[in-house]
Amino acid sequence: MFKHHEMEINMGPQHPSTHGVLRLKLTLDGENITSCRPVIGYLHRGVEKICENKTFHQGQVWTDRMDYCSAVANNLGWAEATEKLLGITVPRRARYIRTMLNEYNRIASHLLWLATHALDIGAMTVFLYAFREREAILDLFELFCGSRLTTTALRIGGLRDDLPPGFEKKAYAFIETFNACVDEYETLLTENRIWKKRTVGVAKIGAEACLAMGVTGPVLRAAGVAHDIRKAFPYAAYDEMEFEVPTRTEADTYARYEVRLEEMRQSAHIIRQCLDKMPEGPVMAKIPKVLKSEVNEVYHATEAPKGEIGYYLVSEKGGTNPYRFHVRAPGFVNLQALPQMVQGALIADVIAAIGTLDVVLGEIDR
Amino acid sequence: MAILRVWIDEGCIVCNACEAECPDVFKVTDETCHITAAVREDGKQDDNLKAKSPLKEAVRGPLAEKIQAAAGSCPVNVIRLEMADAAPQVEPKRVETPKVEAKAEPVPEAAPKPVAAPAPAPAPKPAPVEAKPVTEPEAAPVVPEGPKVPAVYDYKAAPNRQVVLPKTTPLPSYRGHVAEVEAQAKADEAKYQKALADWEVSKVKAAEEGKPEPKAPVKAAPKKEDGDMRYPAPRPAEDADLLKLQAVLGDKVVEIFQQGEECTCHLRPEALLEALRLVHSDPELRYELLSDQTATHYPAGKDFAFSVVYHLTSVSRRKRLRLRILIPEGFEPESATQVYPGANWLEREIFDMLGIRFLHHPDMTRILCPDDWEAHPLRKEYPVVGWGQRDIDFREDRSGMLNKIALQKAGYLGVNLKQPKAE
Repeated sequence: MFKHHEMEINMGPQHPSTHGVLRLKLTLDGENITSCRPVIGYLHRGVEKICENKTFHQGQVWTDRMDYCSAVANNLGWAEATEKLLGITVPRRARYIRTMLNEYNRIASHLLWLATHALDIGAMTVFLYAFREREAILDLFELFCGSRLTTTALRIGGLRDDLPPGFEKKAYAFIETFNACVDEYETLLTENRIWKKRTVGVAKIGAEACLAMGVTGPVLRAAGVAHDIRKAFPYAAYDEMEFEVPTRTEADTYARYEVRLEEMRQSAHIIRQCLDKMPEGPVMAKIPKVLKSEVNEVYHATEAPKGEIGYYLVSEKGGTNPYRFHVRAPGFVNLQALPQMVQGALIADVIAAIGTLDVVLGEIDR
Repeated sequence: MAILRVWIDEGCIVCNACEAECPDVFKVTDETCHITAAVREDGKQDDNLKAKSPLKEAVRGPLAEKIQAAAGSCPVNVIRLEMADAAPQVEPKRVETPKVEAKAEPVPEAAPKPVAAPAPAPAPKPAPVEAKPVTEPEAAPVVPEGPKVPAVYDYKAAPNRQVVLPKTTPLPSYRGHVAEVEAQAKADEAKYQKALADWEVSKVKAAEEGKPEPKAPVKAAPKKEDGDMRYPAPRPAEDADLLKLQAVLGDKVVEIFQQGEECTCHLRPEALLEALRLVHSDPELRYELLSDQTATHYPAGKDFAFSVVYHLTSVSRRKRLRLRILIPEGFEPESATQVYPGANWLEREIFDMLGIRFLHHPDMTRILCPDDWEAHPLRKEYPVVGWGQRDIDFREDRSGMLNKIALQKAGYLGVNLKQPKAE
């Protein structure tokens, strides 16, 4: 029942600031939100069902299309989960290259987040700056695998090809200048009065609530919990890397902005270590052309830019495709916390909350 | 299976799919699809919706398969069929009745039967009943009368929409693994013994014939592990958390085991909530985060249909744990939202995708599919080819355009191909 002064409005599914086809049913009391119900599924393609009917190699291509802003992170999860399922050991050089590509992808994803989030809130300039650097990363991906967005850069068992000639030089060139670029974004936003007004204290969610709702990634770290799967359950070559897990305790939109900027710096630091310590050797494990599984069950989680992305796979004896495939998409679980974050806030804060959660509907609806 | 009538309901989208499948019967015009005059008894050409004119006798049988395929390919399912299934059921009866007569011939009271024999389909039942007292040894198979309603083609039963259900239940467990290994060893040993016995026989035979002695059989060597692939076999549980769970919960735990880096605790479904509360708040366990919850459909399972798994993460202790329950069809497990509120959407997704309802869930509605979706897509009996989806062969050359282009190109390139004749 509505009170006489309440009204219900729809935000989305075609709304530029909902980052895709997210629909929110908002109940308003004046300008304040009394309840919010996210409605999703407009982009549901049944990736899980499709992958259950594809071979292990074919299924990998579909993982790119889930979170299309961080294809390598999705790919890495699938490749490592399958390797765990079949018991494949990946060569060290391949693990290093994977780590490096994953971190490049994290930077690209965070840059896209920064650009669109700032644009939503009203800072137009940052968009152009962030896309300038993102373009350089996409060029690197293109150099490596020929594709810019849905890369399918990795293969089960390692990589298809070694680094192309000239890649390391360009990769170094990017890292040399990148930290200065992050400083540049900071000059635009960090002390900006309007930016602070729109973000400080907005869309708060504390550590307790985050853990209860299953929220992970930068949102959890901005609430003071230093949980990063790269540190907690190291995969790829993260056990050989030195980096810090940035945290804040304010648990608001501004804190998440700071965490993500710091994460980009740490990513650059990891990439430099990968390039410096890059071992020699093969990039592909010795595995049969047709992968046949035994009875096994695996849940493998990796740290995607948005949070914990988990792949659950069940395989049968002699099967060439997974018996069951399930994705724990970080955006899907994080979006659950949105009603809690915007309770009692203004409509304009909903835009900030959606932006700070960094939703990509391709991954939420799958 | 012959088809008596074909007509087009309202709502044809003029997609040419039916004409591609069966051009003899369907002719797609600008507005709707037509049933061609050549195959109809009334000789008109329209959608046949009002007239419902039957097909000509000659095409009912031969074109039936093609018409069915066309109906299956229709994306909006407006092609309606009426099967002539009454006819084939009657026909064998007509054959049988003379048989009854033939055997009853010596009996003189067979006078009324010539009357019953020509009586066609409308009264097939009385004939055998009348015949029975006369020729009681003849067990005339009483064919039940089929329903008179016209059979409508069931597009969901079309062959290309069928799914093959899995025959195995891949459920990892240490006990199952041990049993499998033992059975394999037994089978190998039996094979070896048989080969040994065969060898003895052939050795004696060879000695008699003066041939060289055959080679002795060799025991199957364990598989040589080559390459970088090693199957992580399940092993008994050593993890302290698993052992603690078993110590606290007792026989509510069915099995604990480890495989690779994964720790699994298989529980009875009724102990689920107790176990979740324990792992959440026990100071030694402290699994604060429910990372993932999902379910798997096992249609070949004996006394269960689904497994539901809970993947828990301890942020403070950096550990992971999997809880698993097996439930039969229709069983409603307790909702994990009572301990982990974040299970809300995950359980809604399970309900949406697999149809498992959870008790005491605050909002058990669909989440990804529309609210009026009719089935649960991740069940194994749900086909990958969707309802009403068209199976388009992109290489198929429906209008002959590709052929024309190919001919043109060939001419351009100077290849001597036969040019199509001008009409």
